This record gives sequence, structure tokens and C-alpha cells, in this order.
Amino acid sequence: MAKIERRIKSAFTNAVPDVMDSVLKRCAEAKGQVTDMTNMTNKSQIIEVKSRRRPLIRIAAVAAAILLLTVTVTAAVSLSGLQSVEDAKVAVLNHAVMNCGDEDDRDDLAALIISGMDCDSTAELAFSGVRPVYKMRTTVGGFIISSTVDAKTLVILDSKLEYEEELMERAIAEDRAKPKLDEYPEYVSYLAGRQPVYILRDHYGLFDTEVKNQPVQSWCEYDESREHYLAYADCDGYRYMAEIDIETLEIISTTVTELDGYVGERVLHEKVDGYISMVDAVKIVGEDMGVDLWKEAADKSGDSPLKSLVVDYMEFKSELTVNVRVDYDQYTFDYRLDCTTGEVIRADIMLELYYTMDKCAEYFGVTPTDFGAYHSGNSGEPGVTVAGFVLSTDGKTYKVTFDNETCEIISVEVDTLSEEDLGLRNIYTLSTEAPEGMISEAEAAAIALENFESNITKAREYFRFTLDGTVYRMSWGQYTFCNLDFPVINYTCDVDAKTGEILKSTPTLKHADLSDTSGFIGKNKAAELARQYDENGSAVIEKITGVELGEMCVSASDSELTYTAVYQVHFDYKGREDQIWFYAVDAVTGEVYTALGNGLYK
Amino acid sequence: MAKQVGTRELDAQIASIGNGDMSALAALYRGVCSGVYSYALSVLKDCHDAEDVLQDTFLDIYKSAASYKSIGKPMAWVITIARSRCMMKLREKKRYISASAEDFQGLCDSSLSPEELATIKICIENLGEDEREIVILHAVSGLKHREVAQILDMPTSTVLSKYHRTIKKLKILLEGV
Repeated sequence: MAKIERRIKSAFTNAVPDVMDSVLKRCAEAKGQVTDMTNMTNKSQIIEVKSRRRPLIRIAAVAAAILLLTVTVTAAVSLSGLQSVEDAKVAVLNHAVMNCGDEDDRDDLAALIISGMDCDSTAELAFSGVRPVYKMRTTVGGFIISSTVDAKTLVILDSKLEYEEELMERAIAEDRAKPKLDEYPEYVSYLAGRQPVYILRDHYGLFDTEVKNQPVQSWCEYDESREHYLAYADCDGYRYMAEIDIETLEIISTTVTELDGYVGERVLHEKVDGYISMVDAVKIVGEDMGVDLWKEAADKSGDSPLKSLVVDYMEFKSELTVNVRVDYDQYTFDYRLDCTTGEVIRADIMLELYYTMDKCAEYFGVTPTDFGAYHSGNSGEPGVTVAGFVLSTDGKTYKVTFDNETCEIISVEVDTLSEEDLGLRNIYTLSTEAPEGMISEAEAAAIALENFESNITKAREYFRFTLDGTVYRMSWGQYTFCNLDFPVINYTCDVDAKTGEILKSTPTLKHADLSDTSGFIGKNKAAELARQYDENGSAVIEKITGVELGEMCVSASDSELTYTAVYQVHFDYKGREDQIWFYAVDAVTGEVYTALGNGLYK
Repeated sequence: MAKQVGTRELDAQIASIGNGDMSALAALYRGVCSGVYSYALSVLKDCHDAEDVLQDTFLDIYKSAASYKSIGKPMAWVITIARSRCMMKLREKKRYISASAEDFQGLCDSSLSPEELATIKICIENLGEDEREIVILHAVSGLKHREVAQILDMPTSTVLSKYHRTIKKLKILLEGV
């Protein structure tokens, strides 16, 4: 506890009046009997209560649980048998919640993670002697965890937890735009459903940073008949199961059974007779490509054409194959190997999709707002075309098709899509199926979009936005939550999953988009409009001194618009000479809002 | 007078109080009275009202301990009772009372040093309602930030942020006192 906190605590503690006798007397009276205070012992009577799991432990479990939701259970690892950064992030957070800083900090960190605060992590591969390590910086809210992690075993070599107020303020601002879990009880329930899995893992010590003790798969079922959770984790050849009380989250019973014919993830990390390891798999692929992948991965100069390498095993229980995907230069190499012989079963080479998208944007010289790419037909076959396309700020789509083998451009295409088409583009990819009696994701999105179109005409007038929507299905039981994220406006809409009724809609204007000025009236026109306005009105301009593009807060009756792009036309004021004055002229419509004087002295 | 006690111990004490054990009530009082009183003082800004709330809170605890179900947050439970009592007191008086010099003179009689008195005055007179509650609940009552967030119905992130900002503010205000 810091000095200042100790001081406050001491001051307040010493101010407490001694009214214990009075309190006890009143309580005794309330009970209907008077107790002799002089016989009262100072020592409290401790009675045994049923041992409960420490909250912190549980929090740590949940913290990691939430993060693990996004981590694939197929144990993808990066080159040289290194663990993925995602897994390292989980290990770092888990360690921080359990070990770093004081207990308060750890508790706060866990609380932020549970509340759904974003967690960002950057990692740099380095070497400590011969040991490859990740130098990681992980942020959650205002907390920064600086750590060094063994890149192979995920053992935390050192870790420091710090708190930064400014970072927290930014995180809060970003967090405000997100749906709040408290508003979605069903979603909270979903998270609670993950909790039993981590209680199970914690119970069996499956949360150790030792790689071999990380379950490859874990899940939770709800037993309606007994109103219990059934949590499962497959780990190292065994299936662990725990029956957990839904209210108290206490473990009622546990079982461990052996998985038949299980080779196990040992093959990933150590040499097992009769199987190749993942490290071997990378070597085999490197030899086939004619590239020393180990050396390329160790190259920290940034010159290596190796962009990424992912190894994942298919199904060790039966198929015994391993997949290796290498993004190298402008190509993606996709290999499948036999785990027992190391034989290459399949080797595809295709243009890397991001490459095609970048090339497309470069070819047309446009600023993309979104990307897309696909391989037509059976990818990897020579001569098959690959297409990359981008959406641009001008509301058009640009597409380039390449020869998959030679990388030559086969054709180019420019298409102008209506805003509705653009808006519905993502929506088309949403599910059109729904449980009986409920609307689908696509229908919910269309309803939200229609609501948006009819309500926010003012935004359309001011800004030339492209529609780009994403729909999050929060729960089927209650409603669907649509979040339509546009370049200048973020629009959220809750749609009842059963009736399609709009429950709540909230448009939030972001800061005015000043990056694309193609539709703006220009500085000269703004100055001219300001002068006209001035001459017809108050006539306070003595001399225009400059015009700047900026933004201004505006109010609109039909929405919650807050910012618009304006030209600030500065002028010398016929009056007090020591004040700064300017007219704000709408950058799109030319409407002059008013003369603004900020009262600041030059 | 007051000493910090662990969650488990508090749980056990409340359970004993539920069985009518007055010695457990005395022990609980010693453990949490400063947290309750400080919180009440921070809300009511009046030492006499805070003292009333302190007594009423323990009376409520005594009456409701039998129905207490442990969820690992006994202090939060106690503070929730105290908060409810504070709100009742405010409604009763239908006004917020500003701390006056006389009020703190009363505190001074209870052997407070000039520095301690100044510390309390600064906390009460210079901090906003939220700021005061957040700092007292965490630094004095010993609640976790997430517990404070639950009691005050605020996001944990907001509580954390406000807490750190307020502590910074207090550092400046208390400098040289």
C-alpha cells in the first residue's frame, strides 16, 4: 500500500469512536436479553466453515478461460517448435494474475479481464543464450505486463506488472464502444459456462505452464436433469471430467479415463519412437522447399521472406498427419505429412492472398477500406487464377486476377456498387438459418440497417460513408445485437430475436473523417461563404487571416451526431484586437454555422 | 482499535453471530468498525451521523447474520448494509450536510493528531462524492476495486481509473500538510 493510502487509512481509523459497548448492548436488547460486557472475551470464536476455493484462484482460472476462448485447441505452434504468441499471452496473463504485483493489482487485473476488457500483446522473438524467448508486452486496461517467456515451454522467466493511468483512460474510451456484458445476461451465462472447464483444469493442475500439461481440448456441458455442469478436458492421453454445482461452482465429483489409442501431444514436443515431431516436420518441409526455415526464422533483420509458419497436427488418434503452412515471399506453401514416415502426402503452392490484395491496391493506387481475396477452383494447381480485391473510400470495388503460377495479372475489374450492396455484403455472409420462432442473423442485420437508413439522414448529408456492417449474435434467447461500423459512425442496434422489433438503437458519431477531402468545398469557397455570411449579418470581419480544416461539434435533431468536418475561417475582428475569431463553415454543404470567438488571447 | 481480518475469519464471525454469539459480534466490530465508520463519514460528512450509522449497521448485521450466505465477500456485505443505512440517513435528513469545523473538532477530541485531522478534512472537503467513496472503500474499508464497482454500480475500469486519479489528487493536496 502506498504512503498516501496508509496515511488516509491511519487518519480515518483513528477517528473511529469507541462505541462497541453501546453496539453490543443494543444488539443484546434486540435479542431480548442483556449480556454482561465485562465477561466478554476479546478473542473471537472461530467456527469451522466449509473450505471454499480461493476467489483469486477462480478468477485466474476464469481470466485465462476467457482468453483461451480464442485460442485454437489444435496446438498451433510457430517455427522451430516454438509456442504461438497467443498461447504465450495466455501463459503471461495466467502468471500475472497469480504472481505479479500485490494482491490488489492481481485482483484488479483479473476483474478487468473478466469484465471483457481488451487484451493486446506484442512479442519479439529473442534468444537468452541458446534458449529462444519471447519478450512480451501485454496490456489489459491500464495494466502493462512486461515479461520474458521461454518460447518453447512457455515458462515465465520474468514478469513485471505496472499500471498506467493514461493507458487506462484510453482503454476505457475504447471499451465504451463495446457492448457491455452486464446488459446481456445470456452472454454472461455463456462465459459462466466456460468457468467450470477452468475449475476442472485448475483442480487437476492442468494449467501448468508445462506444455505437455495443456489440454488439447476442453469443453463444458450442462446436465439439465441434475442442474450441474459437466466439464471435460482431454490432456496427454486422458479425459478429465468434473461434475460442478451450477450455483456454488464447487466440484461434486470427478473422473479420469484413458483415451483409447491416443498417441498424444508428446509427439509435438519430444521425439517419440515411430513418429516425427513437429520440429522434424518443419525440417522436412524446409528441405522440400529448398530453404533453411530454421535460419530464416532466426533472422531478425526483417529481410527474411518468411512471413509466417504454422504447424498443426490433424488427428493423432487416427489419421496421424501433420500440416505445415508457410507464407514465404508471395507464396503460401501448404504441406501435409505422414506422421509416421515423414512422407509428403500433399504439397500445394499458391499465391499468398494478402499479396494479391496489396498488389490490387497498388495497381489501382487506391486507399482500401476493406480487403478480400480468394483462390478460384482447386488452389495450388498451375494456371488457376487468384483474385484480390479491395473496397476503396470512393465506394468502388477493384479486383485483379493473377495467374497462380506466374503471378502475371490476367484481368482487372472496377465495379461500382450501391451503398446498399456494400452494406449488405457482410450481411450476406451471416447465417440465414435460425431456430424455430426466431429471425436469422441476416434478417436482424437487415432490420438494423433499414432502421439506420431511415433515421440518420443527417449523417448521409454530411459524410460520404460506405456501409460496412458486422453483426454479433449475442444470444438467441433474448435478441440479436448488431454493430454497424462505418468510417465515421458507429451504430448499434438491438433487435428482438423473436419479433424482429428494434429494442434499442444508438448511433455514435466518431470524429469527422478529414482524410478524404474530395467532396469538400475547399478553402477558397469556405472563405467566400464566410465573407458573404458576414456581410449579410454582423459584418465583423476586418480581414481573413487563414482557413484551416478541422472538425466541430454539432447537434442534430434526428440523431446524436456530434462532430462534423468544417473549415475554420479565421479573421481579424472589428473590435477587440486581442481575440481569436473564426467562422465555422461546413466542409461539405458550405453551411456557415456561426462566428466563434474562443476568447483566447493571442 | 481496529485490525484487518481475513475473509475467512469474517465469514466465520458472521456465521457465529447468526448463531447468537455476541463475542463474535465484538470481534467483527473490532475488525471492520473503521471501514464502516470511515465509509459512513465519507458519505454523510458528519461524525455524529456516521457514528449512528456505525451502530445501526451492526444492529442490522446482528439481525440478519443468520440469513447471511457466504459468497466470499463478507466485507462487501457489511458495507452494503452500511451504505443502505447511509442512504436512509440522508433521506431522513433530506439534505447533504457539509462538514464544518465544529464537526472535526469533535473528531479532534478523539485524540486525532493535527495531521490526521487535516487529512480527513481534505478528503471530505476536496473530493467529489464518487472519489471519496471509492478511495475510502478501497484504502480504508479494504474492499477490492471490483467489489467497490459492484457496490457503487460502476464499471471496474472506471473505479480503477477514478481511484488512481483521486490518489494523485490527494498527493498534491496533502503535500506539506
